[in-house]
Amino acid sequence: MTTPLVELREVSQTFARGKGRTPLRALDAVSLEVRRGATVALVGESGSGKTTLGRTVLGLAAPTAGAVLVDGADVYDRDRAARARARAGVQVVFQHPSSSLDPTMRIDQIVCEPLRSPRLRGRAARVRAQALLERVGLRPEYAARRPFELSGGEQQRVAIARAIAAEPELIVLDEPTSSIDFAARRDILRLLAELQRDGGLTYLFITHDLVSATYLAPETVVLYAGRIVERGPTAEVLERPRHPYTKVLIQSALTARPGVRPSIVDAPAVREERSWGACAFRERCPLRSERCDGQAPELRRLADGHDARCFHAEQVTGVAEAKVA
Amino acid sequence: MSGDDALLRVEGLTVGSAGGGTVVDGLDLELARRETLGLLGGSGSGKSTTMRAVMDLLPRGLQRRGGRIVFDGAELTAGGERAWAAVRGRGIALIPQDPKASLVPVARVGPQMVALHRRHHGSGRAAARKAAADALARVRFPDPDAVLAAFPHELSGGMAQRVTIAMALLADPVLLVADEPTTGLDVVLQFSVLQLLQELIADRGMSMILISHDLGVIANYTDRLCVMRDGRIVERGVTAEVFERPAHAYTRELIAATTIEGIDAGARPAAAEVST
Repeated sequence: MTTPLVELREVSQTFARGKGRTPLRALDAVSLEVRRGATVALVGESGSGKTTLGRTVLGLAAPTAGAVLVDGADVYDRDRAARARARAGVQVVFQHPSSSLDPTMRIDQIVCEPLRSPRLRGRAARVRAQALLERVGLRPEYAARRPFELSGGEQQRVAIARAIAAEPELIVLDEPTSSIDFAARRDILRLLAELQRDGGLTYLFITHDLVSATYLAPETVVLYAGRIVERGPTAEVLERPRHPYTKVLIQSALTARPGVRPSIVDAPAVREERSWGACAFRERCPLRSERCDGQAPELRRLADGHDARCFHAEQVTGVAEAKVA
Repeated sequence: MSGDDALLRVEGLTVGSAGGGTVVDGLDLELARRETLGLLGGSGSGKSTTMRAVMDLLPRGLQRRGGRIVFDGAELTAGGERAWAAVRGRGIALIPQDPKASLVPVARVGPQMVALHRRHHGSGRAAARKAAADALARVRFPDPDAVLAAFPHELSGGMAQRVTIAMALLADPVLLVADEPTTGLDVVLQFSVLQLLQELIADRGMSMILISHDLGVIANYTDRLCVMRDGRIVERGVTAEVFERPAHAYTRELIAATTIEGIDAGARPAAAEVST
């Protein structure tokens, strides 16, 4: 069996909240593997821990417990050189290209920034920039422009060009399509798929857009309150969710058709202290039983191949209307 | 729609940038009372700029170059600063795109809301505080006092968005302008914020202009829509009809791109086996 490209081993991340308040456990013993060349979608609501997980993989937030390995190397190794090696193959594309691209820089400078080295200057750098822009479908004249002259979709292409410049193995995509129009979303998703096919890239795809997840990611992991509550093949998870929270998520998604409004009315997210001797979702759960109050369910493998963290997983009914198709 | 029914009428609105470019190009718009109108378009299409111009809140570097704006029978473009000041907040209230950026970070929510209420209604401190708590209760905060005592950074994204909605309600506006009110919120929060907005405007007989790039939002929460591109409206009509029979190529493209089939042009990544 080959080593996964990304491996999270029981990763926990707690943040202090100051005077008299218990620390916030943003991630709680999350274990996850992403195989080389695969895409895993990470879905969940705001505060579920998905962005924290991405930051942890990027080397931006050392976990309080557990280990993050990229290609077998520890992203938080005590040895600086070892740490740098683990992080060298990881890049990121953020949600808002307008704030992740330096407005004062020209596009060719932006895409070549990760390459800045004594060996790459002047003409060589310009040639490289042109190749990268071509790779993401931008015409050569974009090299001399600045971010504000570009549409949201074009800016996101620049962010992708910058991410692939250093020839990474893994790109963390943090909601890359949530602020652009649907035509641009389609083009960015196609571009990401094409880059992956040609270059063997691996993606960790953070999103709350279920259509995008279905398109790009064969596997989906659902996070709730810092824990994985369900995972499995994306189409399976979205058609036959096995965790009540996944079902809420799917039913809340708006279909781009008039008159097919979601019918559920969900209780607002509870942001109280998370108690760990019970199921974190119980306050919002229609299937809540006594057992859920006294014991935290473990992630378990079900007959259909999903993993779900729910005592009543077998009772979760399918989603009546396939909202994703 | 006859002219007398219109709550808002925009004719030939043109907005230019300092560099000489045209951001909004001769735009016409009409909104009836109690109607929800969607402005659909991508970033840079001019949809936010249009509404900023209608409220005379254009950022530095952008300028209204021409056009008439009539709100509730008053021609704002002829009335000068005084006419806009009378309309902003009490006539037209804006729910901004980035709720956290629109709250003062170093002040608690309470004083911000109280100051706003006093400015609009000239009310006393106690009355303003009560109105603020009531507005927070209307956007479904179970404990308004706790929110009044909170600093903006202590609010989650969904909570901050509901606070800005409550602030918009403080002045009892006739028209709510919601600029991408759910961008950055997850699907569950998005649904609850939109449901809330819809109930609020129905309860109080308000009108709404909903600005969004998300066809799901526009399809489900607007009566009519305008599709914008490059500062112009390329298509307008009753929402259900436009979705059923889109006339403009750009509208057709956007609608096609909402589904997996539309995104997929035989370019779908091969389904890899799932790791265990």
